[in-house]
Amino acid sequence: MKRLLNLTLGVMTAIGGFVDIGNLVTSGITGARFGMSLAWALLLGTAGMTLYGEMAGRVTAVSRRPIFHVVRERLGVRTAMVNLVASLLLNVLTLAAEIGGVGLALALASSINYILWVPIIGFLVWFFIWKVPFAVIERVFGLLGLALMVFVVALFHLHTHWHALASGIVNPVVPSGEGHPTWWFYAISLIGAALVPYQVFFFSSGGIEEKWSVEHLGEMRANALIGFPLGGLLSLAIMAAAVPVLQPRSIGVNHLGEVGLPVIAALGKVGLIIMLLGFFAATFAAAVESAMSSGYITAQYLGWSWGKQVRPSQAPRFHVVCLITVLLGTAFMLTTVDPVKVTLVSVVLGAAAIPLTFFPILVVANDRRLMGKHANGRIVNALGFAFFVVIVAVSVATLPLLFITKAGQ
Amino acid sequence: MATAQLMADEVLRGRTTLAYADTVVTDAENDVSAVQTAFDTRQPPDATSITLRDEFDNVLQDAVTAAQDLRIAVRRDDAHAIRDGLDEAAKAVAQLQRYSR
Repeated sequence: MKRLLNLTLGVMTAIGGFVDIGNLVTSGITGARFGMSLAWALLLGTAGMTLYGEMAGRVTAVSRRPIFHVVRERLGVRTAMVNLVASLLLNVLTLAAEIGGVGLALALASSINYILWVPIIGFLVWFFIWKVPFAVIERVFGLLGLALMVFVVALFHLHTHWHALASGIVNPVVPSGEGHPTWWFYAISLIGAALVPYQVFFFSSGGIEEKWSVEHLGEMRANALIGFPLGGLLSLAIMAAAVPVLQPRSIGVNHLGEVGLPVIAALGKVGLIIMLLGFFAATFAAAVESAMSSGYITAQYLGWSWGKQVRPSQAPRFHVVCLITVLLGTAFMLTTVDPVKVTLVSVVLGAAAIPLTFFPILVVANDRRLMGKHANGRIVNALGFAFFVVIVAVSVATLPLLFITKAGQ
Repeated sequence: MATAQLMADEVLRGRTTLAYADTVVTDAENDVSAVQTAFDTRQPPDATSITLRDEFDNVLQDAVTAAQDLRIAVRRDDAHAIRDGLDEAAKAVAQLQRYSR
């Protein structure tokens, strides 16, 4: 019974925890601007995250070591160092975007400018990392993130043309008046939003915090194979809800408030309050996770004591790295840089850097000395390799498209 | 402008909180204002372009004013002023569309 409860909680947590400011913004922007023509990118990114998330979880459960520890051991200190530096920079950018997202959610709830919330949010993120147990952070915010299911409900309350939505998914075409480079830029942003590196490290390190072993493979697989795809469907619902409300009025999404307009149109104040709760939970959880991810990977790379299963006094350097990350992310947001633009840049740069994270996972998951009978099978390998080719292509195209389209303008 | 119009409509229907509406309409006003500021920084190449720029600048100014009026009406939760603001915004949008063709 306890295992069933853990499984259910784990799956629900994965659904709620998958969606962050990157998914909210990119799904809203693309739904309003391109209809469902970019749904394929979201589905592709979610499939990749599920595939590689399962591999990372399997490596963790079998080796009983976090993925970054194994990466350093198998690929060498120098290669892992490149990964570490890129991931730390991305984590700071992602954390800044998430803090900005929490600030925007609170601004929508209070009409107090988001920038005034930023220092308070930074403090709360640090406080949760310092004081609140891992399971509480993971489950409470994961479950509260499920409030975003309100977008699915809204979709059924709106005058949704289901056939047109399905047609947009199956026959993706660049809408008239839009350039191909811009369309591809947003495709990459959707893939990047689904494949945020910190989520892989957090998923793996969380497995160690929860003491995963081979016996937990079923639970881990359920989390990855059910939780991530359902989280992807949530992002799809955000995109689809924008189509009947925002696209006909030519409303572009430049702010988080515009992402929520379909829910208000469909469900009024009750939907709005539930949605704001979901916005807050999803972005705050992601802020905590991205800051902790910096602590995890640095400590795992350098062989320090880490995690929340030990007291802060037993893992002081882990907590110092988390604190520095929080301070940098908060300071960056206090420069008054637009949180939505930071989000877009962070997901796109994340897409560029993701091969650095996924390649070692693919290699290690194939290592029969380490994984034994739990190493990748042929089908998983074929899918993993095919997806890796896709993300390398994405990685190569990212920066040129970022500059050519001036970040999707 | 369309964002501000939709939000103001929802305020009239009592389907949103004032805090949410205020934030969204203020953001929309800032966006319209930013468009006008960016447009005004462009250097017209000849006399005809200067005339066109002045004409369109007036249209943009009307849009900014309409967005400001809507924001004030929404903050006051004044239904009558919101309806007036929506009429004003509709005229500004129609003018903008005329120039965009």
